[in-house]
Amino acid sequence: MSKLCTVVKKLSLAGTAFFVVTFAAYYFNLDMKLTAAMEPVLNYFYDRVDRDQHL
Amino acid sequence: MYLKGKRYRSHREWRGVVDTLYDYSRWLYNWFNMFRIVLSKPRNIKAMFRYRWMSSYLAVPMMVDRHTQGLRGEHLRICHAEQDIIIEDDAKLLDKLFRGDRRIGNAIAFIEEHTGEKWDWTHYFECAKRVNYATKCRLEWLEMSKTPYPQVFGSNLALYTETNYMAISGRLPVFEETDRKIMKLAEKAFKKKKMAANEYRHRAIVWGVQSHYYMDFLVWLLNCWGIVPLTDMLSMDNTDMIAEVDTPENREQAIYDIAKLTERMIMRNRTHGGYKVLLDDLWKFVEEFNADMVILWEHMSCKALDGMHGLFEQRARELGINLVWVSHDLFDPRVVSRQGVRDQINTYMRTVMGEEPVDPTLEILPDEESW
Repeated sequence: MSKLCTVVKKLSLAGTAFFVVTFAAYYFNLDMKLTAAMEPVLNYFYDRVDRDQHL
Repeated sequence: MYLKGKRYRSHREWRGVVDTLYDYSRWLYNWFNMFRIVLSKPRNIKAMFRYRWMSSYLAVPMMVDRHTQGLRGEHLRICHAEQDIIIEDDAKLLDKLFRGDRRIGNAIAFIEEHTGEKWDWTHYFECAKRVNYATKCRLEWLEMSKTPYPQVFGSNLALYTETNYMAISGRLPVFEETDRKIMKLAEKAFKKKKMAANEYRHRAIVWGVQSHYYMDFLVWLLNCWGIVPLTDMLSMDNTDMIAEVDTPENREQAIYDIAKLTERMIMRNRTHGGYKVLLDDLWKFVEEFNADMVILWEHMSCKALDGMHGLFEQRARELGINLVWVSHDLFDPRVVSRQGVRDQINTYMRTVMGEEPVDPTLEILPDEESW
């Protein structure tokens, strides 16, 4: 019983932490802010792709 | 929420506890789906770093935010029901696309898996040889049409080219036999300087898309007014030979050849490339074929060609070419009947050209009910 309670407690804690982190990311638009920050990083890779000009 | 100069907003909308939690759950679901279907696979991560347009998908949650602005209750749920399924379906489509992408997937393995057929290079190159032979024949017929004695022209050229290029594409040996037969007939007639009608008065390039209820218009042009339809827009397709010998280099080249044939196919080759391919090339052909007339099919619902109407007229005026507009509504003969099509030519030839028909009995035909 005590083991079950521990597992439930840990799961609840993990679930709450998951909710808090993801909700914060959702509400403060952190996913889109990260995407905007990644844009120059991705452009670095795109600009270096060897373009096939074969006709 | 809006931040000047920024791509993102400062925060998402607060919609009350219930609706905000609902929107949050759908946001999480969409990210989970995009990750599960697309981003969890190394092949698709490769695609993310290869194709610039893939990065726009990272902003998909923002697209959803834009469409859910101000929505609550059922309206919010309706929006999500629509948007979320589109996102999921799109993610699955991308996953399938990349499986067939030869740069990061394996196109041939993809086709084999999904069709149950085995890719056969021997068969491919046999078809390629036939495609080349068809191209060679078409070019020779067009060369004949540049002389005073065209042999394969009008509907004979148009309908056959469309079928051979688009539908057959080298698949069937019987079409190669037909190419040989036509070539033999054309060479025989060309040697004898045979004409297909009593009188040739004008040499015309036919441009635009024909009316589908009057494909035999070109034969009527020839017989009624002596206008020889030397070639048409849809017959002016790929003129390059493709690789036809099975070598490792040619197996690589084959992918480019298939792309080239698609790029230069009927319709696509005139609607992709701007005025250069739709407008400029016409005048190039007028000169090459020594034409004095252009018959311009104008499908009245076609924004592409209709939009260029003035440019065609301006260029025809500059070059001194008689340009005759023939308006139609593609499949619907109720708007412009076959006689309506003929009357546009009849009127032009009488009033502008001041001519009488070669065969006046053909000017008016009672074919309204005819198939």
